[in-house]
Amino acid sequence: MPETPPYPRKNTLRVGLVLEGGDIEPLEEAESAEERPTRPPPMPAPDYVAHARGLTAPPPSPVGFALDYDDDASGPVTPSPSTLPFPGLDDYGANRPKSEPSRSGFGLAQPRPPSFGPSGPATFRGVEAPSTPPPPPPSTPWTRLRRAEEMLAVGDFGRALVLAEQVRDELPNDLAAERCVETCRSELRAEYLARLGDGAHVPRLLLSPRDQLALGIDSRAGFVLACIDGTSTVDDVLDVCGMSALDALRILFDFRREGVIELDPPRRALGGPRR
Amino acid sequence: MERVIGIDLGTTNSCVAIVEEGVPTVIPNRGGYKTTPSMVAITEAGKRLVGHIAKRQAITNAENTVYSAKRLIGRKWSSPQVRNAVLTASYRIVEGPHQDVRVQLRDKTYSVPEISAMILQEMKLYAEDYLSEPVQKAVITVPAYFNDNQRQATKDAGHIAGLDVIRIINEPTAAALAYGYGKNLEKTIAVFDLGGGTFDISILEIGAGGVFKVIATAGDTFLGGEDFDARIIDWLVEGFKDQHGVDLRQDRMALQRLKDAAEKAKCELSGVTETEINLPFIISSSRNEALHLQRSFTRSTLESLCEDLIERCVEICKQTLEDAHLDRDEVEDVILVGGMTRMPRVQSAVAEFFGREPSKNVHPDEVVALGAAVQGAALVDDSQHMILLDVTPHALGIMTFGSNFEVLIPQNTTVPTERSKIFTTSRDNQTAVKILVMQGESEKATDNELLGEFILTGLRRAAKGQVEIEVNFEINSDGIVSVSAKDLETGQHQSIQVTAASGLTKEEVGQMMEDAKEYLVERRSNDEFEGIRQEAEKLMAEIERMFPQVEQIVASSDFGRDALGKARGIVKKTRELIVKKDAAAVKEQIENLSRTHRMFKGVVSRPQ
Repeated sequence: MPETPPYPRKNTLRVGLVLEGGDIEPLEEAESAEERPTRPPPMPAPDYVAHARGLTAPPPSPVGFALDYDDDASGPVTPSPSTLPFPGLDDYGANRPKSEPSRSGFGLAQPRPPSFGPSGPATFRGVEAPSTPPPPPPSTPWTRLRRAEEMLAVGDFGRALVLAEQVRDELPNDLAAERCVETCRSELRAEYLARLGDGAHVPRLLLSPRDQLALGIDSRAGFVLACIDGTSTVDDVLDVCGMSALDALRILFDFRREGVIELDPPRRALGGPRR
Repeated sequence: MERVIGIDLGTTNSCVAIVEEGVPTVIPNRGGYKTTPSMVAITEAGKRLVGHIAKRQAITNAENTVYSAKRLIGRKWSSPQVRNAVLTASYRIVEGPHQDVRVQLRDKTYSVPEISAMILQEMKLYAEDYLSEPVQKAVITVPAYFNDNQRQATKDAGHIAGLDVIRIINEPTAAALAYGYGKNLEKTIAVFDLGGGTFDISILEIGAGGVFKVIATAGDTFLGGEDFDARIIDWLVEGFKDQHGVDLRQDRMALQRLKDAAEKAKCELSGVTETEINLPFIISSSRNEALHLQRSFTRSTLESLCEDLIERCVEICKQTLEDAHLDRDEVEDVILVGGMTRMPRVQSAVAEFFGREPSKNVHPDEVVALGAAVQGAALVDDSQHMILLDVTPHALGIMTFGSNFEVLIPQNTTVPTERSKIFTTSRDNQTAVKILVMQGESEKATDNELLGEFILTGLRRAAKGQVEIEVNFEINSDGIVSVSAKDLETGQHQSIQVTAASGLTKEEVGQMMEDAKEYLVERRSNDEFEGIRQEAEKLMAEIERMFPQVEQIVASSDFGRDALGKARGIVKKTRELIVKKDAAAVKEQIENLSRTHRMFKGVVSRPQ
């Protein structure tokens, strides 16, 4: 039951009402768009991001990293070993001078070929070094783009990406170059993912914390390593790692190749259906 | 009987619970955790992340990760809290079309209820997974100080998430409900709630027949576990700078790892007196050498870093009791709510202040959700004799001469209710009055919130104080406030209906509900694909395991080689289809895989 309204007896409550327009403070107006504080500009991407993507000239280094980059195909673009996860991972190292000794951060005496599945060494064109030296780089951006598209057509995604990114930097508004870059990246992502099982697989660390300290990795790879907790899937790691999916996949791929991690088949979520 | 879930929609963490066979139970999320971070993010690829996964990338994807949306919900763009958030939040806050607040994530703008709805939708899914049945009805908790607009916005968030929000209740009331569940208590208690982002202290009276009344509430909306974490991060950063000359704050990945490690260490120190913080490869030096952070961290260091924060909580408690004219010994029990109350120094500070050990009978992270679940169960179960009363969270009244606030319906009045008061004109020959309907506790009207206004005209010209106007406030059971003003002499009448405004129109809420449904369909199809994929993976793993044995047995025959080739082809094709996420095609392949699996099994089990 609603309560009985407590009407005050007449003449017992006398409170003056406000006159229209009088005594009323206008509500504070919202600031105009011009007056609003502007947000600070976003932080520029650190140099190493560009290096890892093969976009800028890296500091000079005797050791290269060539999972899917090739200096013969890409001209002067050579990713910096210091910015890449494994300075010593050179078993596909087309960038490494032949005289340079291997500098594996894991202390592996001989580089190991990847071993995926029962059918022996993989033929992963975006990843493997070419068996024959590629032709010298064509001179104009358009011919280079055509060359990149040809490489793309035959599945040589890594080198196609390096060439296409070069062209895109020279011709930033060129849609064909942009499309080629995107296609290469997408294909490479798919290939790396296929190599890792798929995004639902769960990376698991095989090294003890003490052994991890002996790895020759940089802070970006260290961040990916820290994301691996034995429950997060590859997709989860890609979501939280704060770098491009391609870079993260490459790091995971290297981790697996070097025996840092293993990938477990997906498991059912703990909070899954009870009944 | 229909299930009702109770949801504690927190500033930093949320929790969902249900009453099962009379026992309130918290529902774990998919990671097995009982609380879920109230965070939403959109990745570069446009993928929505909610909960732990959003938290883990909150610093590396700061511009596109929303945290503490609760601080913005139901607030106007011009409110001081929003102005402050615009300056301090790492994500972009923009003005909405109705002077409301929107959040820009990547290329899309979201309303705040929409963001909260993403969290609620996640909680709903956890409950549905757990119960294996659809869940519609929910009770959601809000802070006791939330006004009608904030409550309505929370309700809208529930609707967008596909929930029928049958009741919004105060968080301390929910905590008290869980605490007093089945005990038939009559006492005055304090709810000390130190969560991840906010601190609230509430004094409640638990009356006979299950009446729970908030008699005082106060707090600090910018004081919580995150401030404790920040102190630890500062300590780690400074230590690292001294050791290596490198500022970890300049690197987002390093900062993300520091944040995670600081929170983890803080939690560990509630159980042990010393812990190690190890962050290998946290940053590279100028000479491109990877540097490691390794430090020992003790409970006493943590306490000295955060002593002033704990002191602030105690000061607020002191002030609240003073304002409520209560002595400390009138508080008969203290309930601890929020993860930060696990910290031994917080517990001892509470015990020192109230002069009694806080209750250990409730789980600080879960108690609010459990209370909401208890209330939800009571609302749909007639056999429960708990009387649950809706009360007005704030006083309602009008502005009078001199910017004074005249209360017609006091705070905590049970609804439905109706109250009237008679007022007079304040100036000679006044022919019109403006009725400003307001909500709040301040005696100064301008400090309270304006809910609506209207003008009563045609008053008789007379000396001030001669014309009498009756102002009537009515709140119905749906919480709708009707205000009318009547010239008692002429019978001239004017009225207004005040409904809480969340900042969204009905059409907008409807559209957002549709969007949320679409997302859910997509999400379910992903879940379905996951099930199919797992089945296929299992079969493929079995086939691959038997392959060498089968090869040895049948490879000598042409038929065997052909069969092995086909089997390889089926596995390869299935893997390709899984990468393409083609659920229908993978499902079709499962038949082929099963056949291959049966064949292989037959071969290996045949006596040689």
